[in-house]
Amino acid sequence: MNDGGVIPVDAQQFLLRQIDSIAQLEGLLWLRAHAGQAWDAATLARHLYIADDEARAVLDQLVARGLVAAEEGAGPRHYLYRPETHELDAMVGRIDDLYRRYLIPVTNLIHAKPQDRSKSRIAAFADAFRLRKDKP
Amino acid sequence: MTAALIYSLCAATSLVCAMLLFGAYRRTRYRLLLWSALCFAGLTVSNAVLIIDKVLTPPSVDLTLWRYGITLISLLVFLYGLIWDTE
Amino acid sequence: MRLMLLGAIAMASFAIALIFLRFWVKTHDRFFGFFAAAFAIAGIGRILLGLVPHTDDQTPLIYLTQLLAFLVIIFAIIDKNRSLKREKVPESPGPL
Repeated sequence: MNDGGVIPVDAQQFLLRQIDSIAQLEGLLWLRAHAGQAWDAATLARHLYIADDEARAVLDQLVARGLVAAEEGAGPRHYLYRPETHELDAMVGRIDDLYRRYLIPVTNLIHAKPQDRSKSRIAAFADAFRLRKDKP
Repeated sequence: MTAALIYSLCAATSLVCAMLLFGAYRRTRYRLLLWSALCFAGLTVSNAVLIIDKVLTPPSVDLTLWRYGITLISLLVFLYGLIWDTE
Repeated sequence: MRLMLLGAIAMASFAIALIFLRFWVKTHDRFFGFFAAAFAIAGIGRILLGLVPHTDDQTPLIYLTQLLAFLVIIFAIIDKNRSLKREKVPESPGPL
């Protein structure tokens, strides 16, 4: 890991398993900074300077990973920061701090993931079988 | 009969897989999920036709080749997705 | 015709199993390992159906193979959701 040893192992694990791209990380952190309110994909896309459908894909992936909750309504889907456990929230908080202090190492870690785009599709297949609230 | 019961379980399981995958496809729009959903839907149909073939239709009607055809097409669709749509 | 279709189904099942095997190695998520096993078992079942004389889908050997494949898938889904639950409540052992 070319991160200079500043990122703790558990944070590295979280970043490797749950975050597929910088856009996804920034999306997650932005939602956390603006928590308590639901936002639609288009608004997030504007703040992250990415395309609308990329934002939607990123947000849906975060929902599948249990970090963000989605609200269906009359209009477009809205998303809000709502991690499944307190531990997850604490971890995201630490990541937020780490990203602010060590931008380059965190970025390198995420970019070093091999073929992260194909991995996210494959991971999406497995994520489809997460039942979340309604367990068998 | 045991066989019909087991194939019903298989059909039910495929149906659940198909529904979960299709739901995930609607959310993420990843085509791999569509192909896998279609595969499991096809396998559900194939298992259902098996039960219909054994229980409902008379012995003179044999749907075996149709079942195999549906199964094969379902698997080929999935294989296509696994090769072309995982980037 | 029947044997040709069975062979094709077996081959497709094994190919899918191999691809899942690759996913397992790539992601270290044993969920894919289970799916690889399930499709491999189903493929073997088709081969048995083609090779063993006097067998059809109502022969116990055949439907038990099919059952095993689907039980593996069910187990994979349960296992995936169970490990999620363990992450949620690390302190309490709880019933599994």
